[in-house]
Amino acid sequence: METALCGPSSSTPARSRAARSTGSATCSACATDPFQAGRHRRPIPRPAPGARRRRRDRGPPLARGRRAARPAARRARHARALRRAGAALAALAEPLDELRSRLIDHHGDELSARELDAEAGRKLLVSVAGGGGGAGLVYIGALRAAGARGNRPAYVIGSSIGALVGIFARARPRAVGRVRRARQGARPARALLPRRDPAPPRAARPAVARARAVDRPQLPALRRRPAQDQRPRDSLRGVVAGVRRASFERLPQRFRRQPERSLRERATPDLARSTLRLAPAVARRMWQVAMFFDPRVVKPVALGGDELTRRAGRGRRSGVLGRDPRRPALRDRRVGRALDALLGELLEREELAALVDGGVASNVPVELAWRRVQAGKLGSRNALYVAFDCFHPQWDPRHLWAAADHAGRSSSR
Amino acid sequence: MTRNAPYADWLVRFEPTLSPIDLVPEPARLDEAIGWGRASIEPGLPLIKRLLEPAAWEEPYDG
Repeated sequence: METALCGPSSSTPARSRAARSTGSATCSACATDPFQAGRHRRPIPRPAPGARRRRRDRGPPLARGRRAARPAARRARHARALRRAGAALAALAEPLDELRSRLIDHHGDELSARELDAEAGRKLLVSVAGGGGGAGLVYIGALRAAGARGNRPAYVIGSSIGALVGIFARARPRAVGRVRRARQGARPARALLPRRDPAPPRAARPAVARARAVDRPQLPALRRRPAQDQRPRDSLRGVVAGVRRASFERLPQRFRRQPERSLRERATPDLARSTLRLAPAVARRMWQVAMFFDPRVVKPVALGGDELTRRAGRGRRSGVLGRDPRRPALRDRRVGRALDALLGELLEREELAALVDGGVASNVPVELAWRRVQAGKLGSRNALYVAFDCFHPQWDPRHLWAAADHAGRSSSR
Repeated sequence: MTRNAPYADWLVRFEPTLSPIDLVPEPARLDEAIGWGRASIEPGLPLIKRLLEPAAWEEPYDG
């Protein structure tokens, strides 16, 4: 019988031949005597005559045949399934019609037939754009492409750069050109102003409601009526992260004295600030943000979803932002004071100590979007949730070190 | 994202992207990023359009 050296490396010809012939890379003799591993000879078992050839002859033609027959067979199977489904639906029409009537009779004072049909028969598109800094600028192209195909989202919610891009792409579609001009020196103030709401969704076909009314698992939620006046004035929400007051008090003191630290940094001479102090300050701030990546410390807060936060962006004349489109709003002292008061009220109401970037609490806040839509904030609870994540799967919070290092190097140039 | 993923019907992943630190890119880089975003979502747009159509279950399948 032929023997082969059982070597540790699979690149050895004898070892490769032995492994191929046995179908295994392990050797029982090596396992029992590790000091002699790869130094002894062992018999090479031979396969039965003709077995290998038969396998090779039988494989490829059969595989080719399967590959050729698969699409046609699959199409035929799907067609049969759809015919069966169509026949089953015809039988279901009458019971579902009766069920819909009973549902409307039972909840007639809370829910009209038109509202039921509108909600169950048509899905609304909810876009959730996650944070990611400059990486999130790809969302502009995505929202543009979706809008060009007629897939205009009824509700856009985003955190960090996702919220900003949502403002640009959703409320001001032409603002990207303005941002580009701003990068070249023009003024971006008008690009940040809000725009009027889109039209509400059209009513759906009544027949669809019969199918969906029994299909949706959250049927009891229909008792909560999504009244017309509950619809948001504009369907754009920015998410920020609120630091819980109790957790904030337990943080080290250097994290809690931001106003004093900020004043001290502003008072530093420009030369020292730009070359020596800025890099560690950036790194320190990034590390501070990393401390908040914990749901026990922060919670997501949607801005624009209630009367208090809606005041910040309401209209050009009466809102806190954009009283005069020719002036950058955030440089206006009156606007600054009004925003301070508004944010103070928000912190008090939510029992928060500070607001930080929304990506810290929930980088892609799909859960928050789902909860808000299910609470009737959109006028319908039947929605398709499309999440944009520019970080997935290449991001990890540990990358903050690299970001801080990059920011430090950039600032010291 | 792990906690939020079950709530999303479709998660769009973008690749490549600009650096997260490149917050105000050059106009050419911004255009490039917009093109990447468009290319990432284009394959899924017919599916989104189909999912958003009202279900026409009254009409029998004729295929």
